[in-house]
Amino acid sequence: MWVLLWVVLGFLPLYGQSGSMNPFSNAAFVPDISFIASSSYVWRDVSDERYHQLEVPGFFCQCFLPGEVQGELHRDAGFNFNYGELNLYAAVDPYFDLSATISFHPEGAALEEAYVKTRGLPGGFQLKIGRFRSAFGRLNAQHLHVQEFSRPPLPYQLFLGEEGLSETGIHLDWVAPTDFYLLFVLELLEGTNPFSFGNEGFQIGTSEVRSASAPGLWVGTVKTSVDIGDLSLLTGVSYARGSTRAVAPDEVIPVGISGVTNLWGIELTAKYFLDSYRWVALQSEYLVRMQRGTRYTAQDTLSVQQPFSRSQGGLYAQLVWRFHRRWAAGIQYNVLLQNTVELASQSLPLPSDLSSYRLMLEYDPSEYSRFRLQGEWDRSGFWEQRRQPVWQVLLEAIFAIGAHGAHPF
Amino acid sequence: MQRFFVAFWIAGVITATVVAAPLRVVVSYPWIRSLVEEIADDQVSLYTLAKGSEDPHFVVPKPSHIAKLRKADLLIIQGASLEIGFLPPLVRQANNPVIFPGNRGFLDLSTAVSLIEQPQAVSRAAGDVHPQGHPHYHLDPHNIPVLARTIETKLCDLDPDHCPLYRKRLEDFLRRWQAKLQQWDQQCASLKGAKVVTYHKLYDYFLRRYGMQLVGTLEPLPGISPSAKHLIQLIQQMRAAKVRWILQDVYHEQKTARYVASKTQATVKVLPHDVGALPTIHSIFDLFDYIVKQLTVQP
Repeated sequence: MWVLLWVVLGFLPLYGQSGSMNPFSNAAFVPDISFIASSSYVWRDVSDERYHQLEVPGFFCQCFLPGEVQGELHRDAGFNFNYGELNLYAAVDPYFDLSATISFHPEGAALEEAYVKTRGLPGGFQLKIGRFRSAFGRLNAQHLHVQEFSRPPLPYQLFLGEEGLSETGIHLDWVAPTDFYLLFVLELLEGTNPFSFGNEGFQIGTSEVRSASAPGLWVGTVKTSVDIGDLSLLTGVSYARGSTRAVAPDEVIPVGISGVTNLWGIELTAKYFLDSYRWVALQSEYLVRMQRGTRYTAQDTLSVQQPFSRSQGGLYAQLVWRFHRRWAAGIQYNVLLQNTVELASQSLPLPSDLSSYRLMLEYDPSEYSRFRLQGEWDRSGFWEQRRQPVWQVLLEAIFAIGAHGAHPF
Repeated sequence: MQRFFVAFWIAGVITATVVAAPLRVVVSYPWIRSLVEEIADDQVSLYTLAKGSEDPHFVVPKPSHIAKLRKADLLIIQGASLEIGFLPPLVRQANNPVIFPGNRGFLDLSTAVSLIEQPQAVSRAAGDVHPQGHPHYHLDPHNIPVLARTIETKLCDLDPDHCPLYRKRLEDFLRRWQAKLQQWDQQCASLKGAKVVTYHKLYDYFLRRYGMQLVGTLEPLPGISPSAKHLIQLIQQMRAAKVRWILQDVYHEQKTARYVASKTQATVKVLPHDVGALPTIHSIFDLFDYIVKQLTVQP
């Protein structure tokens, strides 16, 4: 058999003995490719089972909408693989750049971002088309591995979810031709974020709620920055308005809500540079959500419709000190200052002193590897109507390979 | 929508009023600024991204830089991946296609000189490597004339009205530089064969020009902080080779250099790498005057 093959191959004419091996090769056009992996070890003082049943009053609970507070990051005690993020970036043609981020989890993959950006719009404009992280607020557009702590702050988690506002749509931004930095952003998005928006209709009992018209989410942002010596200040205001459709049909008592949500964000970053490597940064954001609509429930054959409104606001404030090129330490305080939910003109008795504290210490062996130890004390979770404080310690390792671009301010 | 058109209109008016303004040039490092000043005097408005005292690899990407890049007619960079850690996001956020790489308002000076130490293969296991070659080429004083000429050509291209002035000033600069080169070459003749250690591979173009020999670096690999094991080996190597100087830049810590010096015969020389690295270095002339003086005046 092998002899036969050898003989046959031996008689085949040989091509490619001279000249270029593949004149049609497109290898030089391979885009910038990078891969970032995050894994962590988690210790906490409550069981995983209890942890995943925690509710935040007024956000995810039987009194309003069921759902898990905690997402996929650092999910269980012990070792966790959080994400593997594949980034691709290249110019499409003289007119557009394309970047894509594919997020891999042990259970599968998700297209986190894939958008084109214009290269040559005049007058300081830039247009983005596709699926991308919204420019809302300071942190939303930042990928997790860029953020200073191992989880998004509590207001982000509660209003937009762990993955933030990542939507399909268009984004137009304009940098003003001023001597100081002044940026305007306007976005029109599908509005599918399940934590504050959503547009798919649903049926609960005999009540049928029609889908909201999509795209149904507008986002606007204004940012400005000034320098005072080695101190850089960045501040901005963001606003998002969209329709809301959310439903939890599988529960014993199915619940659905339909309405309109307004989300406001105000941000301030003050970063003081000590030298090339060391800086101290104070960063804070205040997010407010105003939601109004109808809540639908059904018991047996009885359908109930009640008007509802939610006004909720929370902030985080963090201080990060990069005291050495390879070392940083930080503290973050998260608190919900306002948590008012009205159902059929009745105010629900909800606690508003929901807070969490985070401390971190980071060591970066190089610009491409990072180890972060984070301690958390979270007082926002409730179990069977009683507060269940959670202590946890995370040790996260993040590695990046390939052509990974630098990070902005 | 109406508001959007108002914004567009305002942008148009502002753009129209600035057409007559002088050429706006943004440069990445102060030594480039010094060259542009020599050629253009105050005919152009200049903005520098980095401070001379900063590590050129780690420049702070402040939002205020974006505002300057937004209005720039010309961006001049050192290139060879030196700015890769901070410039790409700034350029991308500035929404100014004029200064996009490859466009008319973009000048990468590294294309004007031949770079040394171009790696055969690149891997981050070897530290912060620059695939295009060694990026600190401005520290060879003989590279400066061709760099100045490249800047003048670009300025003439973008601002032909003032070209005669740029040309005249360039010729004047080159004459003065040539005289200085003769003086420096003469003074540095004594440096031939001198053995040195540097913190980072920073002064290689200067060492090469004057026949000095680099025995090692305090960093085990480019961009990787000194380790005890590496220093022990280096100290032995330095003793055997009789290393004369440890050339220390202004932005890294100096404790390691002093420690190594105390274990060997070497002395520490703190050298500027850019204009503004030390308070007395105001121009590209000062930069080389200082370096040459440090190395040729005893001890």
